[in-house]
Order: sequence, then C-alpha cells, then structure tokens
Amino acid sequence: MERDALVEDAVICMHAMKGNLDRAYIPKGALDVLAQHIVGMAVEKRWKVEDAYNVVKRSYCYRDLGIETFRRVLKYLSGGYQGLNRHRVYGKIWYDEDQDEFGRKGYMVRVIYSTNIGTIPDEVAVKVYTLDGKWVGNIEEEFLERLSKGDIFVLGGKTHEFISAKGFRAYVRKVEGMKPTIPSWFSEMLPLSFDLGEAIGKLRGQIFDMFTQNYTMKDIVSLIKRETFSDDYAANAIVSYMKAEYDFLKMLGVKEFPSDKNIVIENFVDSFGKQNIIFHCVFGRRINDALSRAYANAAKKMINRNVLVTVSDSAFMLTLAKNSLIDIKTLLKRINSKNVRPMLLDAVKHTEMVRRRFRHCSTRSFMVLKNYKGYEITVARQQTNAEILMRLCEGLDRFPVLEEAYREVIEDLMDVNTADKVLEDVEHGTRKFVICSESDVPSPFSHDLIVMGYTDVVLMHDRKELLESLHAMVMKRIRGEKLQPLIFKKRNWR
Amino acid sequence: MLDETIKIAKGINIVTPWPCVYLEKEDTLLVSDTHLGLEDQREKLGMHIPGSIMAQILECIVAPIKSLNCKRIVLLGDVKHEFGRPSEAEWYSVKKFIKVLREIDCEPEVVRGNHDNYIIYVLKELDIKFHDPSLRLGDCYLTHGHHDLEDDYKDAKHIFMGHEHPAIAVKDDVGVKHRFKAFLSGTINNRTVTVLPSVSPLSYGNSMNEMSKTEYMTPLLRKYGVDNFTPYLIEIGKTVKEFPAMKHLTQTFITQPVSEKED
Repeated sequence: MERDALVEDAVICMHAMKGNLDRAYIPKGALDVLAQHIVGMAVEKRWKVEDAYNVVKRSYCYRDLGIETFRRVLKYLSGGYQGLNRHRVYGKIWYDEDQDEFGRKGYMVRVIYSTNIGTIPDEVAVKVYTLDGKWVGNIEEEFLERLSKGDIFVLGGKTHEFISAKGFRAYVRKVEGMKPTIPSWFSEMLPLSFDLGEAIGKLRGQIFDMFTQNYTMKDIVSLIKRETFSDDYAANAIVSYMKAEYDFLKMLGVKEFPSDKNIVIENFVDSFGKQNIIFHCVFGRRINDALSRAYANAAKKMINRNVLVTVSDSAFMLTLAKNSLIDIKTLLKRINSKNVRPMLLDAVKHTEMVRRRFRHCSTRSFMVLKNYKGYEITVARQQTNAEILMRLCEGLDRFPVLEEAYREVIEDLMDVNTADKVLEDVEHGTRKFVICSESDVPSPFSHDLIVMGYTDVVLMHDRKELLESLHAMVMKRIRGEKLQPLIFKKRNWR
Repeated sequence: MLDETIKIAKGINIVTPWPCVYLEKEDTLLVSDTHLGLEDQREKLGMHIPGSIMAQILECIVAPIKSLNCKRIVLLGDVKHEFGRPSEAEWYSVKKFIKVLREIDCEPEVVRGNHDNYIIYVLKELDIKFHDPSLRLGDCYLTHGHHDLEDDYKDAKHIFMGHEHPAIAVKDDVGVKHRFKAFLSGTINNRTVTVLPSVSPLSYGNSMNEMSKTEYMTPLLRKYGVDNFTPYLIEIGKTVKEFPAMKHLTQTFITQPVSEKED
C-alpha cells in the first residue's frame, strides 16, 4: 500500500466519523445531451426557437446556456455544418432561420430518437486472447488502434505482449518482468475529491506544525491515533512518513512545509540531467490534472519540446527534456486564474483523452448512430475512426460536438473551475507557492509519483512539425545512433 | 514553375505538399482515389460527416493545377465511391467536380478503377475520355492497380497506380503512434512503380508497414512486396518527407523495453 493512500484512508475515517460528506458535482451545459433533447422536442411538434430555448433554460444544468450556443446546436442538427453546396443528407431536424422555427425532418426521426437516446457511452470491447485461446480481458477500440506488434501493455495487473489483431479480437503473449511500452492513458480511476484533499492537506500542515514546535513523536502518534481511529502501526507509518519529508525539506533549507495553504515545489534534476518540477498539492487528480497540463503547456512553450506529465491525487510532476532547465519562478508567472482555461484547452486538444471523449459525444449527439435501419455502424467506424472525424471537425467554426468533448475533458474529467479558484487564492495570498532549491534526490513525498511512470504528454500540435520531427528521429535511428529510451525507465529509488 | 517538388525519377515529381504526381514531359497531373460521395455512403450508415469533403479534395487538386498551369489531369480510378447505381448526391458531386476542373481550363481523363461501374454514363454525358483498363502516355503506364496486368506493360518504363491507399505508421519517442498517408516508389523488374495515396480525407489508408505482403490489396505489390520501396509521407497541404526504405520501417519503431538489469 502506498503511504499516501494510507494517509488518505486515515483522513477518510476521521471525516466519516464526523459525518462529513463530499460535495456533489453536477455537469453543466452539456451540448450532446442538449442535442438529444432538442431532437426529442422536435419529434413532438414544431417549435419557435425562443420558446424551446426558454423551456431548456428552466433546467439547472442549462440555466447559463446562451441563445447563440443553442442556435449552433440547431444548426448542427439540421445539417448546417455540411456546407452550402451539398445535399443535406444528415438533418435530423429542419431549422428555418428566417422564421426562427424548427421541427422534425422526415418520418425516421422518431425511430432514430427512440433507438439511440441515452448517455452511457457505447464501448465496443475488443476481446483479448492468449495464443492458446485463453481469454485475458477486454480493451477498448482506441487502445487497440495504438498498439503495434511487440508492444507491452498491462491488462488485469499482468504484462502482455501484443501479437496481432483480427476484427474485434486481439492476440497477446504473457510476458513477465517487462516494462510496459504503452502508457495507461485509458485508466479512469476514481479521483480523490477536492474536499478530502484539502482535509489531507490540513492534516499534513498540522503534523508539520507539531514537528516545528518540537512535539515528541509519541505525542504526534497518539494524536493521529485519536483523531483518525488508526492503530499503532498505521499511525506510526504516517508519522514516520511525514517525519522523513520534514527532515528532507529542512535539509534543503525550506522553512514552510506542505499543507492546505502551502504548495511546495521541488526542483529535482535526475541523473540523466532532466529537470523534474514536482508540485505538492493534495487537490485530487481532477484539479491536479488541470493544473499540470496548463503548466506543462507553459513549459512546453518555454523550451519548445514535449513535456511529460505525471499526475497523482497528491502531487504532479513535469519532466522536461534533457538539458533544458527552466526557472520555476518564471514558469509560475506564466499561469494565472485568467489564462488557465485557454492554456489547458490548448494543451488537451490533441490528446487521447479528447479523442476518446469525442467518440462518446459523437454517439450521444446522434452524429454517429448506434442503431440505424439495421446497419452495423461499427463497419463504417472501423474505416473512418474518431481521429479522422475529429480532424474534420477541427476545421469548422466551433462545432458543438467537438466543443462538448473539450468541455467534458476540462470540466468533468478534470476540474478547471476549482483549479481556477486555487490560482485565485494564490493571487489573493491565501495560498502560496514555496520553491525548494535544486536537488539531485527527490523527497519522500515524490517517490510514489516517480515510480508511477508518466501519465500523459503535452505534444507538439502541428502535424507538419510532427512529421518533421518523426523524420529526424527515424533518420537518426537508421544511421544506428542509439536513442535514449525516453519512457518507462524504471528508477529504483525506493 | 516547379518551385516545390520532390523528384522521384527524371521528369516525374511529387507536387508538394499535395497528393499529386506531375509528369513533366506529358504535362499531366496524376491523382488517385478521390472516392467522391464517400461521405454520403457514411451518412447512409448513420455517420454524419460535417464540413465539405468535396472542397478539401478540390483544394488538393486545384492548387497544383494552378501553380503548374497544366492542361491535363488523369484520375487513376475510383473517382466516386459507390459501386452500384449512383445516388442523386453522387451524380451532383461528380458533375460539380468535373465542372470545377474545366473552369480552370484543365481537361480530366479517367482510368477505370474497381469502384467505377456506373460512372461511365456520367462521363459519356460530359464527354470525358475513359480508359479501361489502363492508359499509355509515352513510356508511362497508368492504371488503377486492381487487376494483374503484368503482360500489358512489358515495354513501359514507369508504372503509376492507386487502389492501395498507402499509409505509414510511425511511433514517436514517447510511444505514441501516428499515421500518415504516403506515396510509395520503387523498382520492380527494372521499371519504376509509384503508388499514389488517396486524396480523400475520409479514406486514410492502410498502414503498409504493419501489414504482411499477403494483406496488400494490389496484385502487383502482393506478388513482389514493397521492401525496397521508398515511402514519401505526406500531410496534405502541409509537407512531404522522404523516409528510409520500407524494409527499415517494418517495426514502427518500438522503443525497446528496458530490462531491469540495466538500472
């Protein structure tokens, strides 16, 4: 068990006994659900746009919806994004901009509507078998697309080597003691909530305070035991974990310690000469995800290279390319509460996460139908995958389906709104950054993070630049130069 | 005139950054697999394709025609997508397509592809030359590639074909796989063979370096393989890059797993 998880459990226990609950989160302004609803409304009768808009606005989730956005969804549903020169094949509804009215188009709409509504994403599972025909588990379509022969990935806690795929079946060989070559973009574990994270931060702060006030270890252990209902072993483990961090930071000359008010930033340069900037903030992964991508994007712009991101519930780390050190103070200045949203959006636009969400959104908003006249849509989808479809949508002006995919990633999957509040707190002085001096060893709080392996890469966006850099890489390799293995080099610090 | 081209052989150029080949001597532009109406077929299956595919295809063709000021364009088959009787939308798009080309004073000719069954009627109506199964231009032999016609081109020096929709998958240094459309060019029995990528943004193509020889669609490539072919990766409208021969690209560049001992 990771020690951070132990601390988390202790704090959960403490708050459960006090009867505290996490706040609920309700997604707002989802355009795919709106699209479904508009089709449903149109099936029943002809609507004045104003009237329909006012009905929708009555919902809590859409109270802030703009009429312009509403019209864009109407435009999309009526096939208005197809260009003027084309026969409008798509149209689920008709939308008359002069009369400001809309209604259903054709008799099929009712059938399409009732056979395709729902918000649970339709996952086509690819079954994974070993060569002797044993079923190992399921993976997602997109994950399969990313695999090449010889790739090693984790499934069901074990490592497997990918051999081949036929349709919706993949064949693998079990391999042991090999490091995966495919990062786990796809795992969506339940994140720590912000409220619980803040409580953990507070406990961290309390314990560090007691260290500075020279309380004995025994005193602190008994306090932990009393507050969190943990046993001797657990309480001792927690306190010695904190003590190790305390001693380490003191050695670096740090005067303020990690808490709910202080965000301690480590500057760790590893033995390969790569700078790792580690933010210790227990905000939960949704907020850390958002903050890390925004800072990574800023760092990427400073050094003009890809930046690796590692995120956990209690910290996040940016790993920079070799020999490109940056000044942390400058980096911090690049992100504030005003630009965090655009910076994050810019960073996630070309990630696997958005691509996957886009596929869900395209189904939910009736762009790709699950059931239609008895056709098997998977056939078309195999040939025209989400990536191609998404690239087409990128060329259009604020296409609602793509916009919804972006929104889901930065607001639902991540939490840009709370990240924004955190940065506001920093600007108002209620939270602050504490920058450590450079070190060649990471602090105890960082160990879990470093062993975890990176979770995402903030990539170069431009396909031209991408092709050119791939070309340079391939030519290097052809000439026999050994490239440094950038990924999953296991570092045994523990 | 030819400010930006990549030379495949003498007088034969890839017009960067477009998916077209230009034959200097014959003053002819070659384009393959436009698959007009593909988006309509997708819509019939219940997949909505936003934006105008036709506009994107036309851009890839009109831009090089204008910069080269060339008078003839040969479409190497699969002009439209539907095998059977064309839908109204398809007739419309084919006619519009031809009209745009004629407006810029460029005469299209068509080599028959496996999808081109009903298009004959449209072409007759518009008075466009239709070549079945191939077209001979000087020492160049133009075909779609779906038939095995090895006997026909015995005295040709250069062979051009489509049909295969070649693409190449390359992994970057962090393990992410990227796919690009590609031209393939190589030599079979002392003749240069050039395979053109599809122009359609909807039909991305097969990752040739991840398939075995037997999975190729074109009989000629299935027979001889493409190990010694040179791929030219293209991002349409942006850039074209020559890559090392196919035999070097068979592994999509997997970063070798680091064993425990190395640490």
